[in-house]
Amino acid sequence: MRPRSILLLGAGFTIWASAFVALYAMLSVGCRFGWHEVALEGAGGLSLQRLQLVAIFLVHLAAGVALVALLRRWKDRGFLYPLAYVAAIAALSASVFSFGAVFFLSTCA
Amino acid sequence: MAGCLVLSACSGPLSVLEPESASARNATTLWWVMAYAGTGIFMATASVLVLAVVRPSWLRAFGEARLILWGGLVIPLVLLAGLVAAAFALGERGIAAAREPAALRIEAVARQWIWQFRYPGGHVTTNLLHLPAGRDVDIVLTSEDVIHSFWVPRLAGKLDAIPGHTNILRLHADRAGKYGGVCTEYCGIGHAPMRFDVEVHEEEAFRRILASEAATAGEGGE
Amino acid sequence: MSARPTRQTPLRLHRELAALWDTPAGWRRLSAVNHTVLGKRFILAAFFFFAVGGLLAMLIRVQLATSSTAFVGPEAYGQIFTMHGTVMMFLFAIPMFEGFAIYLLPKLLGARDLAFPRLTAYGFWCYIFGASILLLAMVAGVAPDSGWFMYTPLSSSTYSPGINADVWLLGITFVEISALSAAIEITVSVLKVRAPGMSLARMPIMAWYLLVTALMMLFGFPPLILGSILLELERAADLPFFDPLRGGDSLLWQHLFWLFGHPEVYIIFLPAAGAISMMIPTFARHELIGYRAIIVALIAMAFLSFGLWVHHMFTVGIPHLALAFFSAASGLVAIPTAVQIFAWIATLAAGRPRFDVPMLYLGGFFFIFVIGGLTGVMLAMVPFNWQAHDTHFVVAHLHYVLVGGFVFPMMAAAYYWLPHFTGRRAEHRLSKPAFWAIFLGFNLTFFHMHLTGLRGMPRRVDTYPVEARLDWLNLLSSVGSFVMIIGFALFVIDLVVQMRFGQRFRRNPWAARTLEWAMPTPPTSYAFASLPHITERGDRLAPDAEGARLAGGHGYLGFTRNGWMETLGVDMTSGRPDQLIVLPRQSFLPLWSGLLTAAFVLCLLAKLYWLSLFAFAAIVVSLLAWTGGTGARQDTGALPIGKGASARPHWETATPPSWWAMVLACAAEATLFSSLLFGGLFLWLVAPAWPPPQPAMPDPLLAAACLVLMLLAALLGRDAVRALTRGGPPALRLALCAGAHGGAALLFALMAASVPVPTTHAHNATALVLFALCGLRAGFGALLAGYGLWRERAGYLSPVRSLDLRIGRIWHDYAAATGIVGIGAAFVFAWLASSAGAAP
Repeated sequence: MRPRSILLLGAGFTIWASAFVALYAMLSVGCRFGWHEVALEGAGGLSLQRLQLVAIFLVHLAAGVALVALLRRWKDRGFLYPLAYVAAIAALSASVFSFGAVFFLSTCA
Repeated sequence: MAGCLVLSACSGPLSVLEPESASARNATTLWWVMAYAGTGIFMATASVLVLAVVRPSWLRAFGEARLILWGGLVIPLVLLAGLVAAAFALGERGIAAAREPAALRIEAVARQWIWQFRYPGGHVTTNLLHLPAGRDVDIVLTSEDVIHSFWVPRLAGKLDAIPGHTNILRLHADRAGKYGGVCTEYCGIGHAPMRFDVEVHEEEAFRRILASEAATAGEGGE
Repeated sequence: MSARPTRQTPLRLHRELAALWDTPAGWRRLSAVNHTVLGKRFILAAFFFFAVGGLLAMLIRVQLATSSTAFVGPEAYGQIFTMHGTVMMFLFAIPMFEGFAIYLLPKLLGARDLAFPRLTAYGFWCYIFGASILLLAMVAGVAPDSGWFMYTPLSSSTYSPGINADVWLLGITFVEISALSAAIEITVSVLKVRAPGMSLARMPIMAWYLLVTALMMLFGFPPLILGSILLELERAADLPFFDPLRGGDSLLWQHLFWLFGHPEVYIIFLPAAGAISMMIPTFARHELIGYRAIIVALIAMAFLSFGLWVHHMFTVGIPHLALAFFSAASGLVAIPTAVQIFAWIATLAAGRPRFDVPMLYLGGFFFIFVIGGLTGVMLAMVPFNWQAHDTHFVVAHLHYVLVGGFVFPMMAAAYYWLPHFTGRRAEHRLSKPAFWAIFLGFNLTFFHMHLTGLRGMPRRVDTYPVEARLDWLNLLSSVGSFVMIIGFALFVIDLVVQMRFGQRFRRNPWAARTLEWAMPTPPTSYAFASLPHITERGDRLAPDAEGARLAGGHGYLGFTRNGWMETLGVDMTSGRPDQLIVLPRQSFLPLWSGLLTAAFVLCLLAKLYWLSLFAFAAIVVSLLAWTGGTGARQDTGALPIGKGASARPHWETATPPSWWAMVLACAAEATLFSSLLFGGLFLWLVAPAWPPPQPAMPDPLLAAACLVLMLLAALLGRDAVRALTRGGPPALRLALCAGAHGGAALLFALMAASVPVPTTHAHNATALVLFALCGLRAGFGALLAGYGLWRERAGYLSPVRSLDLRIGRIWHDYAAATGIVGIGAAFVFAWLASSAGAAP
């Protein structure tokens, strides 16, 4: 059963928005509790802060990829599906662009 | 930089375009790069628009969908990615340099509508900031009432002084001289005149001045 | 209930429709609910405020002409620049686009009016009365003076003790009611009130733009409304949300303000971009290229624009990674903009462009807006932003974006659609000199202002040091601004001349291919004598032939019956007609509701809080009075709608416009509520002076009882619908539902009252507002259940006429869900407040 809602158009970017909120919120929480100063032995000295942010990022990335794969099945049908598909790809690329910095930049002031 | 046609058009005690520190210079370099690139992008886009009217067959031969793909997506994305990467690197460099606290910390306390600077040893100056040349200084920013913002354009970007928060701005002036500083957050009717002077001295002179300020700190502070 | 409608002659059809739809003359004009009338009123009022804002800008430029001008003092200057920004944003740009959308949207969609004509009128009155409060305050010399961004603590009672800040908070919130009602109105109208056959794929591109814009407003305005409520509560009742000494934080205001403030920029730009997407195909004589690409770009823009608000806060001291998220999103938003610009260029290249005055103004748009976009990307880069932030560089940038992205396209749109308003063709004598004066004046004012900023001139200053050698730059700007104002004066004269003396024409002067030209011009009150069946995309139509056919009554609804004002509702995706929408008649009720709302706001301004409660009750009663006479007392069944088709009246269908309006209202309220929860968490994380001395731990017993009652209310609400559709009486269940809601509201009130001294700490104040909000929702639920009961008693309900209860059910469910979240949040906040001390 294919979903037929116009909301599909925003599905990809909803994942992007969720990633945004989660990353920004958990970044602040981590800084508040000093997670950037907690080095994890098992993860090669990676800080807890970096680890949880990267995890959030990857989870959302996976969700974005899954959505693209799902919409790909109907991408030649009608009007809504191709648009939703392209929008999901755009959202996935936007996620990489917006949040790719979690791997590099300093997390807390 | 050769960006200003008349050299004096860029200069002034508050001019971003006459940087006197590494961090301010980075921002200025970034500006000139973006200004030139921006001019180029504007010219290119305008040319495509003109072509669409005078030589539409060229664009049609290129293909309308491809025009949107390349002009609207690929080229801007590549340029943007480069720019963002450069800006991140630049920002990170500044933050990495400031990770260890500087040996000299000066407290800048803002209130309607004066700046008070407190040096180690209890010396206080008002609307006049003394700095040593060639070394790192941390300006510890706080506010006693509303939000103000501390900006010495020729030395560094601005940072807000917010009641209840402490912000630290790293300054490193290359050489001795006099610079201007302003409040850049609207803070009430005294906002515009809430300016301060920055005097950067050689190390020796800086110490001498602090010593003499200490003598007058009692009355000079208020 | 009615004889089968018969085909009329065009003239008789016109007379019958006009008798129903026309707005009466004389003082009864105030009862107007018609979109054409109200659209024009919105546009005129917004243009008046554009002039006011422009005048204020002139005062600013006079003051800044030299470093030693003593034209106005700093107190007056604070009011002037605050009002300039406020007027241009809230009283010009938003209402102007609303008026434009209200006037045009039904005509583009092939409908006779918007979904909620009385809401349009109410929105208009809220705008006019709210704007009048601000204007009167300015005349009285007590206009807001802490900047249009109203940063706390400068705008708090300690530093702004006068009434000035209250005028802003209450007046602007008042005006925002109109923005929110427009958002709901536009969304529902685009989704449901279209011509048969107009599937999503066939909508004119403008409808997509307005749909996206309206949804952005729905989620963008609530954070600011919440912020304004909190700040007003702090000023009026000393609840310390923003006071750093008592656990509040001024940064919370900045977040809430810019969470609205940045999407606002795109809310202003998108409708103008939509107008461009309508005009370019007409003048290129080619359909729009990249229709689908533009839709995806719009979706991307709508989301991205909510992810860059912190670029207004790059200097408040935030970790670099957080800045990076916002910086990247700020740069990224340029991509969908570029896609649109190249789609327009591609359309021009594909067609045979024809030059006319609107195209001249679009050229101005292109030049100015592209520069503004480029400086926007520059400002998104953090190291440069730290230098340029809050300088005149930003002033130049934002004027390039807003004047380029809104004012120039709207001037083009004025020339393009003026013939539609007036039925007169344009005479282009003054339009070209006007353009050049505005264009050159604008650039003379703002181009080198980039340099003024880089040379160290901060924003919002009334003087600057002579040593900075900024005099000649500023003088040039001031001269430029006067050239610009001369251009605007010529523009106004030109429009007046065209309205008065332009040549009459018959139909479609630009040879456009969109539906709004398939009607007589100036338009009749009912827009279409009969509704078209759409078989092509919205910019591939033939309005001339279609217009004649529709005027002859050959489309849907080419007749009148029962004295009903009818239009059609369609299935959202496919455009299949699925209901006959019967719109409300002309009415003074919106005016009364508007006046009562104004009375409420004035009571708050005058600090007459007890009286304001009565005013509030009166508003509720007046809004309930709107429902009298809607719906029917017996089942109607499917009615013929012409062309051999039939449809049920909307109150007998599953998802009529009002059902969607309730869904959207819940979405907006949920955004407001989420903003409050965000505020609670934010303060715990960031604010100084935590933990609070006395955490507000709710009484578990009260909370549990409250939960049970809310769930009960939701279940009873659902059961009432079930009972009704099975033919049983829902009265008892509705009464119990109202009772359960009432009980929950009472318990929330008790919990609010038991919050220990809310003035001592922001945590306690937040808990108080949290309970109050949940209690209000329960109270509204009781009201809706009671309303259902009343409708049932009055005979408006039956198994097929269950709409009133189903709308109620949405709210009962919503109130229960958010009430549970609210109680959970109260416990979490209390727990965080007690253990927050443990955090390093």
